[in-house]
Amino acid sequence: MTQEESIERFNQRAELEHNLTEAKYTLSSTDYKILKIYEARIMEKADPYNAEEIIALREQARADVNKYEQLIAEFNNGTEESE
Amino acid sequence: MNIIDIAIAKQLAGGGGGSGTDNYNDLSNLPKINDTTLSGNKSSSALGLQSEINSESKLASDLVDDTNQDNKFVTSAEKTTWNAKQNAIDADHKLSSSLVSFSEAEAAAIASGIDSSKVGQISTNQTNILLVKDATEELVDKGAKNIIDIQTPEESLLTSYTSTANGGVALTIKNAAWTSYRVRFSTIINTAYVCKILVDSAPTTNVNVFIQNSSGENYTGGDINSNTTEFIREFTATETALGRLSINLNNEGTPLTNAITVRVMICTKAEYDISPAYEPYALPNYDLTYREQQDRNALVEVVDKGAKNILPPTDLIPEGDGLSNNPNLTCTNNGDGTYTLNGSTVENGTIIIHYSMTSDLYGGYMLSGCPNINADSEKCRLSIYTYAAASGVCQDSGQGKEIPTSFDPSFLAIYVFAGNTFNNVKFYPMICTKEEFKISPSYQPYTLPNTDLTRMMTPFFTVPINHNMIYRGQNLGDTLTADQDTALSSGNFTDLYLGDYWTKQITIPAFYEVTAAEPADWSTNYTSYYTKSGDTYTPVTGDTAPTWAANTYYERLVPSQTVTLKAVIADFDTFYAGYASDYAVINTHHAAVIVTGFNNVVWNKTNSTAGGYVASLIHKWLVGSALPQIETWFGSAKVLSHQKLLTNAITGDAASGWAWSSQKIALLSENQMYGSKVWGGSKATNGGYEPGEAFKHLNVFNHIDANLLFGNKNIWLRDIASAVWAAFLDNRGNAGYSDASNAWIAPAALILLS
Repeated sequence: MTQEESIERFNQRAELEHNLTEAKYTLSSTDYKILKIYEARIMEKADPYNAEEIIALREQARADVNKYEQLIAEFNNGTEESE
Repeated sequence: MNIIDIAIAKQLAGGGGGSGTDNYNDLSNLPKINDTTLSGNKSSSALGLQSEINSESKLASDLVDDTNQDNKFVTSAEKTTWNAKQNAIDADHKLSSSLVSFSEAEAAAIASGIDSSKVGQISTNQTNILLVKDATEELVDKGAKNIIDIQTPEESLLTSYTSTANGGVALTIKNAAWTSYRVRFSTIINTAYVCKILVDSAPTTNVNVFIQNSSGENYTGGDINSNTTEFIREFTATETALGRLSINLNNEGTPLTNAITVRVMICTKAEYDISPAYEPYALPNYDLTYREQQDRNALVEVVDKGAKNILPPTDLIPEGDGLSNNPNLTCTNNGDGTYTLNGSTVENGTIIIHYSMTSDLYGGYMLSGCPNINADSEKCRLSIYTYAAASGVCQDSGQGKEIPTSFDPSFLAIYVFAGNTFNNVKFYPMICTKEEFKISPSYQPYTLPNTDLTRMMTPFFTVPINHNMIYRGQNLGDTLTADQDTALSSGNFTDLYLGDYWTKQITIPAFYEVTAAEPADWSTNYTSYYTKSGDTYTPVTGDTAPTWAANTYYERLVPSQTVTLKAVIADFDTFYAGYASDYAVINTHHAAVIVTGFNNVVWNKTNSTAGGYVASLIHKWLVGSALPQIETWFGSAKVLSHQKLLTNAITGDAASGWAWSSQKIALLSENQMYGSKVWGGSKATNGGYEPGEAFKHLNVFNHIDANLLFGNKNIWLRDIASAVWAAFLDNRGNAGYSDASNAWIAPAALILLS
């Protein structure tokens, strides 16, 4: 593998890892919103956030986490897979 | 009346009682000479008398006896010679210059015949006077006869001067205005002097010469013209002060057009009368003595500051029968090469203080250090003993002792004599060369010789990577010299050290960026935007804002700056691996150089670190505006590219993405500055990529505080502290972070020079 190929490979994996980080961040940064919706419903108050939107966002984020973890694993094993 | 007449008179007077007679021949008992009776007409030879003296010369020649030193008579020839010399003495009792000097034989004869009781008296022998005359002339000419140093002027008004051979000076006029060449000389009141100027190269026009007192009033003076070869004036000093010789090359408005070359002598008239010959200026003996003493003082300092004492200290605890036989005596090793005795002795004995004697003491060394207390009685010695007892011992009793030529030293010891009391008696053992001891016998502690120091220090300078341990901070100039170029490219780094720097004033052009969308203030502020033609940016003009179009209008994000940049060597071979490799390591020797001195530039146009460092305005400005000027400064080929791992994305408040790219320039990182992360950092699982290739602490910061290197300025770093903050070094040397759009922080870039 030439230096250029090695660098390109690294950059590709770094991008996958960044996307994985973003997906995990989406989950971690919206955890408090789910908690607040849950508290509001316990207290029979209105949802402070749009629950459907939050949940849909988080479901997508989880799917992204799974996807990118898989991609990274395959990348590390030298298997290429298109998104 | 002679004897014979007296005798005849007595006889005629009837002395003796008989009748008188007037006939001498009738007398009885006639007188005799040499038993010959005086009668008749006898010759002198008949009477046994010497031949008569020749009336033409005082003595007959056969009376001369030159071999008999008691003989006071002289020959005619000697009389003639003497008279001739006598006639040469004039009324002033001075000898004519035509007189002949003593021959060696004459001088030897005179010397052997000198009557000590007459020493000091003026000899009437003319040849003695000649000897004294020659000696006096020589004494005068070899002394400090000439008291004026014509080559050292007090002032040279509009005159150029050049020293010439034998104490002379060549003078030329600088312009046609009033000129003078003035030299001071010392005078003693009421002393007569002679000023003699020898003109070696005559002037084309008249030159004034004035001999003046300290106030500039003339003692005497005159002109030197084109025919003058010798200028002589006498004067008597009216003060004890500095007189002045003034040579004016612009006599009455007629400037000299050529060079006049002169030799000048001022001496006392008494010296001049003994010897009028020119002698160049010479320092008087008291000045020479003073200078010699200064030189000697300097020599003593050089010797004492050098590696004089070759006896290294030891931690050996003193031992020997000098202590065991004298229980009341202690000898303390003071740890600095000196020893102290306290107590009393009842027996003689040896106290060994040093075993590690060098064997290189064959000839030319001195042992010293015994206290000088042995004048009245034997108390102690400082001694070197040899392996072979037959070779003896070298002992110092307080005055120093020369170590014998063939001497194989074994140990150094203090020898004590019985019956003595020692009260804090200190020994200062020193071994030095005889010559050093002669110049300065004072004790100096042991110092490594220069050869050993050089041997120890050599690896620091000759092993290239050791240059990472040496800080020098020297100004290397404003360009890369050929030697510096070779030192970098070869990897020897000869005469390059940490902190060394190049410095140059450089203009960094403004940085523009094309507007990607119509700016919000376009309609009102369009004149602050630019169009581009080639490399030229022109402000938008017109009474109203033109219609915005993509790829047409530019925003000036960083103004131009003319600054004095400093390129400081921060590290050597930071990324050198010795082989072609991946990523950051390279196979080219280099110095990591910090370029500082820029004006303030924002880290980003807006208060955001989105897109990471690689998307920042400051990095784009470094690459687009600063780097081309730095490449012009050092040469494009000298500024190396290598792979840098730069942040290109953030998630939340931290960097989350990186990519390798080939770069020639970038901001420093916290790791490079501080040696560790402080405010930057990633929360990602792969956050270890954060410092990128810039994870190593630069060696220059092991020697100098970062704040000092940057001159107490705020300096941006490339680390991301949050979504809106970037890391920086504040002007008090603290590790900080700031809004990315702050305009009071400056960049400092890292480049690699090969």
